[in-house]
This record gives sequence, structure tokens and C-alpha cells, in this order.
Amino acid sequence: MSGRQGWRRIIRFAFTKRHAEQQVDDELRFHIESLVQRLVAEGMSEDDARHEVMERFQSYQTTRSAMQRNVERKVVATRLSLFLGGLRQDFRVGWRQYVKRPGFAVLAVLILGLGIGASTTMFTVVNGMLLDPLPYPHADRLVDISTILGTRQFTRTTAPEFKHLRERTRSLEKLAAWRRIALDVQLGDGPAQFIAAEVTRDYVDVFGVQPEIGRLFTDDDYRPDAPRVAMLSHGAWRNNWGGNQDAIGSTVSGRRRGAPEQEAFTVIGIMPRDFPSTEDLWVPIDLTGAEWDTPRWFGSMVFSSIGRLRPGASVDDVRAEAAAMSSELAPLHPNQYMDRGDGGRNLMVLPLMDSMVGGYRVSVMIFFGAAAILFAIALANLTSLLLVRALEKRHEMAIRTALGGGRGRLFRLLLAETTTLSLIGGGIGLLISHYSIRLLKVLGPADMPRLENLAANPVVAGFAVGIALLSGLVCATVSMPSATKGGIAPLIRGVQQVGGAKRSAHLRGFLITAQVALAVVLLVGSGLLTKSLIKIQSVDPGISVSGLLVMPIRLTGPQYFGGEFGNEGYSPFFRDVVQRITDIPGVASASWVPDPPIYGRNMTTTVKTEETYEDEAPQSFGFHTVGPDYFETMGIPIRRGRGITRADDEGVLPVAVVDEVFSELFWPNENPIEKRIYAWGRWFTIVGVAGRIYHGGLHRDAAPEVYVSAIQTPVAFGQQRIVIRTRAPLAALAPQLRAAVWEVDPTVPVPSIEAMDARVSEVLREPRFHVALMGSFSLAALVLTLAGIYGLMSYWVTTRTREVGLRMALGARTGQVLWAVSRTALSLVLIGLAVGLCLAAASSRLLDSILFSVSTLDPATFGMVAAGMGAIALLACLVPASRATRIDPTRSLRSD
Amino acid sequence: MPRKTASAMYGNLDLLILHTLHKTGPNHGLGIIDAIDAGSEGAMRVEDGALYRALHRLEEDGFLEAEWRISDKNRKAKFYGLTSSGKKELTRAQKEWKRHTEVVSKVLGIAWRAAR
Repeated sequence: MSGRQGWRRIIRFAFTKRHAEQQVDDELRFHIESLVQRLVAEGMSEDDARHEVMERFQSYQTTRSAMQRNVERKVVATRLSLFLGGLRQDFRVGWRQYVKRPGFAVLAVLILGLGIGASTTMFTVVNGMLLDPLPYPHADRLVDISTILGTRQFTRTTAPEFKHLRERTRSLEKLAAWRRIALDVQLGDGPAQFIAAEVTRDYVDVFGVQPEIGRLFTDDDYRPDAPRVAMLSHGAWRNNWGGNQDAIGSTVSGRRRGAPEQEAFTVIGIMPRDFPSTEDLWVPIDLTGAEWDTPRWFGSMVFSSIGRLRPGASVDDVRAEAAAMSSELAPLHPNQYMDRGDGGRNLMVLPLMDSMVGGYRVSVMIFFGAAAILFAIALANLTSLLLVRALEKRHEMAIRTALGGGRGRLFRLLLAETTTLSLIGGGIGLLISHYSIRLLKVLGPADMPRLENLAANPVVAGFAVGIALLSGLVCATVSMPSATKGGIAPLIRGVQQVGGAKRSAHLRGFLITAQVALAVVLLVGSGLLTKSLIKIQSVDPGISVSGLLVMPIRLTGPQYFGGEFGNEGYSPFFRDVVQRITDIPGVASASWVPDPPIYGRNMTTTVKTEETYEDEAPQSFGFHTVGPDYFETMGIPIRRGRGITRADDEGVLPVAVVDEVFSELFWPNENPIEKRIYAWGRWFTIVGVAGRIYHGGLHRDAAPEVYVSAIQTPVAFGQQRIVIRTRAPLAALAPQLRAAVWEVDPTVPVPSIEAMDARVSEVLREPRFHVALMGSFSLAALVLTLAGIYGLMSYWVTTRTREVGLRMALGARTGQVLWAVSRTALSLVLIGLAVGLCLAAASSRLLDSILFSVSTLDPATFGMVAAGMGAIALLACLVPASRATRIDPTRSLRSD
Repeated sequence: MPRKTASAMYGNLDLLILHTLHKTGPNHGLGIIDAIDAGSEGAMRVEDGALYRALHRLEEDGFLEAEWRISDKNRKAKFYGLTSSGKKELTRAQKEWKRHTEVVSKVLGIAWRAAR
């Protein structure tokens, strides 16, 4: 049966309707034409006869369409049952073949499983993080609101901005804000810290959730004289109340920062289990009062704000309202809204999903793309294998054709074979992705959003099965033509070299080129990421990392607050504790600071010099209030002058230490000692210049920093960190360090003591993870590609045994034989290399946002990948080719 | 006697078709119409559309099987033949028809002369 008929059958299957019409028309035409002829024979004219016949056949049109529907239904049913019956048989045949040759099947299934596993893993991330809606009703209507100051974007906003937006908004149905507070709670085994949040009205409503048990906050709870109430998270309820219903109505005693004494909160409700939050407890706060509208609160970006769009309103509507609000507030608060030529102050409104996922969207899509490339390589690899197999099976196919198996029938058989393979591969891929996701949760960056939402689910399984079926179809389609082309007769006679083989060889050549090109793209990607990681690792953070411990402390007792800056009790406490810590054997020195480098926290404030004092728009710089001996403890070198000492206390004029970057910015080539800077309403005399540090993390540039004495200028609120330079291991010191704190105040919790080098490796975790992920994709790609080249070469050598034997018999030297055999493969590799480098150059731009001080077109990386890939590919060509040179000419010529 | 179409006796069209095919062997639609026409001595003319719809229905029910053949006028035509279940159906329908007409005749007081 010729190919055209086979295809016609397949097409006809798709055009059942046409086919049904045809059948019915044929049947009716016979009826009508016979009647017409009968009348003509009786002497009627043909027109009259036709008219007469149609007259009698009153219901022609309705009959015709009723019959057509009938036939159509029948044809579909018959064909479907035939197809399915055949398919079952085909699968059985396919399965039997693989059982007979398990080696091939296992290899094929593993190759495909690898590709499907990688892409399903990354799809799980894409689906769980980017596609799956947030677990709130109509989550797409939730927006996050934060403050922008010029080029700096904050993740939160301020009380007055929230208050004004809430008063004026029309496009938001609800708007709520909350801020984290620390709450010292007395539980069974000593003081514990609860993560709590003060929340405004509508906080729970805005998410559209209902309490699991109990009630929500009502307007009455927000009155100043109302009894104190609280809601508990599901986790806190389960852990501390055993999930007992009695929790409702019970009392939680705790003290918040700065509060004079303990407060008792009555528990009124429990949040639902699936409400994603890190807080344990929520208490009401009312931001509607005028006291929240003072200039001071414009500097306190501590409120997270979430709004719910009215149905039909868009994010742009809220942006317009926010912009209008800012321009109205600007004249009232000129200092807060001053435009320093960078756009000034405004609110940023983002869909909640975007603000949560943030920069991860880009990296997730990059790695999904990389996984897709690996999948394509695996598919190309498997197709090559199948092409060889198809050549081997041409004999079988020819016999099937000769026995009347149509081309459609043969295609179906092939399809059943490849689909069997690909579905098993898909199953393996799902298994791989299940474990990869577990690994990813352990190894991946800790702050990855929605990590808890990453799991295999029906969508993920559907994706895996979908690409498995697609693989089966692609493999069957590509390996089909060469299986039956070239006529039957020569094949049945057993002649091996016929036309089909040539086409198959071309196709395999193309597949090799494609694999090399795609592997090069992945290799360049991992090369760039590796180089970036090396760069980050080689950055000198400016501090001495090893032997440095960090102990976060948050003071909440009333005795620590009050005075000019509101926290006059901090310094005596920390001075006392640090003194006790320094006395511990094994501790070299200790100090304290709210924001040590590489901790992601950065206190900034506007700083002027005498030269820039008149400027309208002063700049903000890192401004760190540090205890005595800070520079010694951190290992930050003092370039000129001195550091902050014990002597820099309330009794003397305020002093400051600036770093090299600051000094170079304002006084290039000048000595800054004795110059003065202005901040927080007072002048500081510069007494020293410190070395540069990478405060914001190793992957950020060094920025200008200012250090002042925490004793003289206690402007820092909130959590402080005691930093300790030690000569002893952390485990040995930890109990003594805690004891030193509790000797001064036994009610202060010490939640953790961390080693700075652990923190640094935490910072390196994300770039390391990128390298590991891209590296494993490229490694897999490289192995597959090399195996592909090796396989192709081996096959060619085998098929060209005669030719090689002839050449050698005619006196060809080893080098000439090698060249003759591997010439084609080498040129395929070279083309692939060139195409791959071009593709990599075109696509590496996408990596820009996750690279650190490496150009996306880094010539060294591109060169190394080209050279490395070229060398390894050469090896993969030459090893099988060298086998050709060992062919015994006499034997090879006698064969065949 | 005026010619009647089968629409008045639609329910019995199936019986007529099965009977005709049993008598003539495999036949096309027009052949069946002609045979009924002849059998009723011109008293009954089956409506074309009704006949074809009935043929398709009977085929779907498995009482008939169709095949494309060349007719005596050398044209392609669809021939219907009785299947074995069609033959059973014919016997069943004949019995039913007989009982039905006997009962109706009894009620109407018409003397029943057994056909055939």
C-alpha cells in the first residue's frame, strides 16, 4: 500500500463528517437517478422527471441530514473501536519487544526520565510559585503597598501614608496594615518570644479568610479603652494550647517593647491552618488617630499594607490614587516629600503575588528554560537511538508492509512502542522530580517564596504525562520514514545499503549538531554562574569572618526606654553585658551594633558635611551606632586615626568614624580627621577612617558607611546584636554567653547565637545553588551529547568497515583513515559548537540579574566552553574512529 | 382505492422492510419501495425519506447489514440484507402484527380471514 493511501486514511479519520455526507449522497443519488431514468424511459423530459421525483421525495433535506448524522456516529464508533483494539495489540507487541531487548529499553527510559525529571522539577517550581494562585479567595485582587524614596524601594510603608490612602481610596475595597512587634511571653519553660503583629481593622477580612474557631476583631476591639484581645495562629495554638478549644477565652500574658508592664490579652479566635504567616499572635492597633500623622512617622517604614481591589478596579487605579495622595501631602510635609531629582517619595503598588515572588520570577524562569533545553537534548538523543533501531528493524517493517500492514498501521505500531517507552520515562521523571523537589527545599535559598507550596499535584503529573506523550509522538514521527522508505524488495532480499539509510544518517547528523549546540548553551550558563560564584567568594568582606559570633538581643523591659532618643537604657545594659562577655576566657573582645554587615539590615540616615550643609537634598548613608571596640571585634582595619572607644561617652563631644568610601566621596586625597559631619540634629567630629566593608552582602558594591558611638548617640531602636571575637568554639562558649546576659537581666530572651561564617555561607547559598542546578543540567547534557557522538561514530565505523578495509588495503595511513572516518562527525560538532556559542551569546543576557560582576559575554567563559567541548567531542569521535584503524583489511573485504 | 403513504402505518414500516428483504434477498432502497408497491398491487406507496431513515435505523439496530454493490443498471448502490437477528425480528414482528390485527378485528367485529 502506498504512503498516500495511508495518509488519506488518517486524514479521512479527521474528516469523518465529509465522509458521512459522501456516503449518504451516494446512496440517495442512486435512488433519485434510477427514478429519473425510469420516468425518462416512459417519455418524460429529464428536467420534468427530476422535478417529479423530487416532488415525491418531500422530505429529502431532513432525511439526508438525519441519515448523515447517523452514518457519522456509526463511522466514528467503528473506527474508534478498531483503533483502540489495534492500539492494545500494538502496545502488547511493543512491550514484548522491549522485554526481549531490555538493554535498549532501559537506556531509552533513563534518558527520557532524566529529561522529563528535570523539566518536571522546574515546572513544579514554576507552577507552585508563579502559576498557582495564592490561597485566598480572589487572590488576584490583593495588592501590596510600599514606599519608594527616589531609587530606593522599601518593602513596607508608613502609618501616615497608610492612613491617608485608606481615607481616600475608592478603588480598594479594603486596606489593612500590620507591623511586627516582639512580645515576651511567659510560658512553662522560661521566657519565650512570640512573633506578634499589631494589625489594623480589616486585616483578616482583606485576605477573605474566616477564623478556624472563635471570632475576628470587631470595631469595638479597636477603641482605646477596649479590653485587650488577641488572635492566635493555628501553629501557636497547636503547640502551646494543644489545639484545645479552651484556648478561646484564655489569657496570654506578655510585654511588648517599651510597655511599662505586662499586658493580658484574651484569646478571641484562631486563624485557619492554611493561613500562611510567620506570626504567632495578632493584636489590634488603631492607626486612624491624628497622632499617627506626624512627620516623625513618615520615617518609620514598618507597616506592611495589603489592599483588596474592588471588582473591576485595576492596580493602575490604586497607583493613580497613591500618586494623587503623594502630591497632596508633599506641600504639607516638604522634608518628607523632597525630590532629590530622583522622583521623590511615592507609594509602590504591586499585585501581592508579584511582590511576594519578586526577583525569583526571573531565576525560576531561567532554570525552567535550562531544564527545557536538557529535555530537548534528551529527546534528540533518544530519537537518534530510535533511528538506528529503525534501520535495524527495516527488515521487519518491510515484511509487515509486504503482508499488507498499511503505513498508518505501521505508524501506530511505532507510536505504541515509543509511547510505551515515553510513559515509563515519564513515570521515572515524576519520581526524579519528587525527590529533586525535596532536595531543592533543603538546598535552595532559604527565603524562596511559597516553598511550602511546591509539591507534585495533578497539574504537575499532567505536565509530566503531557511531555511524555509528546516525546512519544515526536520519536515515532521522526523515526517513521526511514523505517519503511526505500521500497520493500531490496530489504526483503537482505541488502543493507539502501536509500532510507542516507536520510536517517542526515537526520542523526542534524540531531548531533543540535545536541552539541544546546549543551553549549547550558555549559556557557553554568560557566558564567560559576565564575560569578568565584567572584563573590573572593570578595573580601572587609571584616574577619572566622571566630566571630553574633548574638541578637531585643530589649523590651520598660527600664530600657525613655530619655532624649527614647532608649537610654540600652547603653548601660549592653556595656554591662559586653564587659561580662569580655571577661569570659576564650573571648578576645566584644561589642554591639544593630546591623552587622551581611545581615541584610542596614540603618541609614541623611548625613551632611560642612561643605554640603546648605544642600537642599542631603544624601542618606549607612549610619551604624556601635559599641566600644567594634572595629577590633569585627576585624575592620582602621586606616587613619582611631576607632570608637569606651571614652567616647555622654561626657565628651560626639565622634564619628567614616570608612574609606565615604572619605573618598567627600574629601578625595584629603585627611578627613577633625572634619565634621551632621546627622540626627548634631555635629560629629571625625576621629578615624575605617576600611571598606561590603555591608549589604558580598554581591553588592561597597557603599559609604558612617559609624558613631552607641553610648553617645543611642538612636538605634529594636534588635541589637552583640558581636564577639573568640578563640574558642561556639558550643563551648554558648552557655557562658547566655549566662552573661541573664546575670544582667534574667528576663531577656537569647533566641540564638550564630557564627558569622555560617551566615556568610548562607549568603553564598543562593549563588551556590544556582551553580549546582545549572551545573547538574549541563553535566547531564554533556554526558548525553557525548554518548550521542560516540554512538553515531561507532555506528558509522561499523557500517564503513568495507570502505576502511579497502582504503587500508590500498595503503592508507592511520591518520588518513582516522580523518576519513571522523571528518563528518567533527564537522557536525564544529557546526554545533558555532551555533551553540551564538545561541549562548543571544540568551546569556537573561542571566544578567543573577550574575555578579561577570559580563554575560565573558570571553574567557565562552572560550573555555568552546575549547572544552571541542576537546571532549574530539575524544568522543576519535575513540571509536581509532577502532577503524585496527580493522583487518582482508577480513573486512571478505565480509558481506 | 386511493394511494396511501406509509406514514399512516409508520410503525409497520419496519415489518414491511424486513418482510420484503426476506422475500427478495439483499436489495437497495428503491428496490424495496418497488417490491412493496408491487406487493400491495399499487395500493401502498412508501414515502422515500421514511424508508431510508428506517433502513438506517434497522441497520444501526443490527437487523440489517449494508454493502455497496453494482446494481443491475451498472450503478453503485447500497444494498441491505437481513442479518440473523433481523430474521428473528421479522418472525417476532409478524407474530405481533397478527395478534394485534386479530384483537382489533375482534373489537371491530370484522370477520378475520387468516392471511396466507
